[in-house]
Amino acid sequence: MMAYFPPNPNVPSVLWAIYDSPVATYIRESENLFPVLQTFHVIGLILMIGTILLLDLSIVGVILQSRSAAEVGRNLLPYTWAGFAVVFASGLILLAAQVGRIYENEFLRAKLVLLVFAAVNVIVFHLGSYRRIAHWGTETAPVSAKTAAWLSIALWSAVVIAGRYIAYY
Amino acid sequence: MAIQTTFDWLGQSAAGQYLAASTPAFAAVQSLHLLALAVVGGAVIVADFAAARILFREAGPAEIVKGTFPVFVAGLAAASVSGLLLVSAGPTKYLLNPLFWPKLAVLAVAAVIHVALSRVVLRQSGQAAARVLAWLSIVLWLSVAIIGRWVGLI
Repeated sequence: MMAYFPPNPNVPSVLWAIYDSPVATYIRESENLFPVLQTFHVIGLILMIGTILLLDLSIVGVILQSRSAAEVGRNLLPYTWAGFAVVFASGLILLAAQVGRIYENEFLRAKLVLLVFAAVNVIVFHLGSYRRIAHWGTETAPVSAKTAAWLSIALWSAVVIAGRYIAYY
Repeated sequence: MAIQTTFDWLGQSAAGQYLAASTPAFAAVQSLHLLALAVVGGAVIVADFAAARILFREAGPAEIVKGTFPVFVAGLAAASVSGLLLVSAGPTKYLLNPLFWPKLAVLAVAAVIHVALSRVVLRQSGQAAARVLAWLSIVLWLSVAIIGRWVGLI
């Protein structure tokens, strides 16, 4: 199918080719498939961010203080990863279907940058203080872990907020 | 009709007028609504799966249900306030939306079931009842999220 608009010269040709492909065009123009993907994106988000926030709140000592952070992490992380798989797969498809139109969207760019920061925070935390999480027991988490948890709350919230603004700009 | 009057009042309130006129403010409230959903969803999933003895099997389910209940209440409060603000930005749209009342009805049932589940677990008055309520709660909250997404689409 022909694209409705001439290629935006600012969009890299690879991305335009993806956007203009029959599959991406079909998804973009589908009355049901697009909102179904959005629904999966929201449900994946709830599962992923909801469990991340609970682990963060337990690390900073707001909830579940009687359980060790190691136990909370061990129980919740599979759900976080399941949510991530759903949100990431649906997000990639939604992005492919729209990239020609939203490539220059500043909130999309902000979201992607924030995602990188959030991912770096996860990696630093897991290679650092999380490796000794079993030794914290139900004692207070070290300052480095609490800092990472607060940072995680802030960054993932910012990712969600930036994502919501993409649709309006 | 009382509902019509209430919705008209919401639409004419300062918050309603402001949100109807400001795209960034409306998107900010939607973002808050989305984050509140994540908080509610996380608390519900953890409490329900603990009650069904799938999660936190080392701990008693009562401890986990009790520990996540304040998170559930806080998330539900934030979702309700932000939801009310979203309605105030375009009350007629929601009043006429065929999925709006079904969503609120399922939400009300889901909230009642989750509270009932919490009571059953805290009183330790029946493992089988807790399992049934837990799965019912999961299905109902999932329905709320799905119907809610489609409220904004039709």
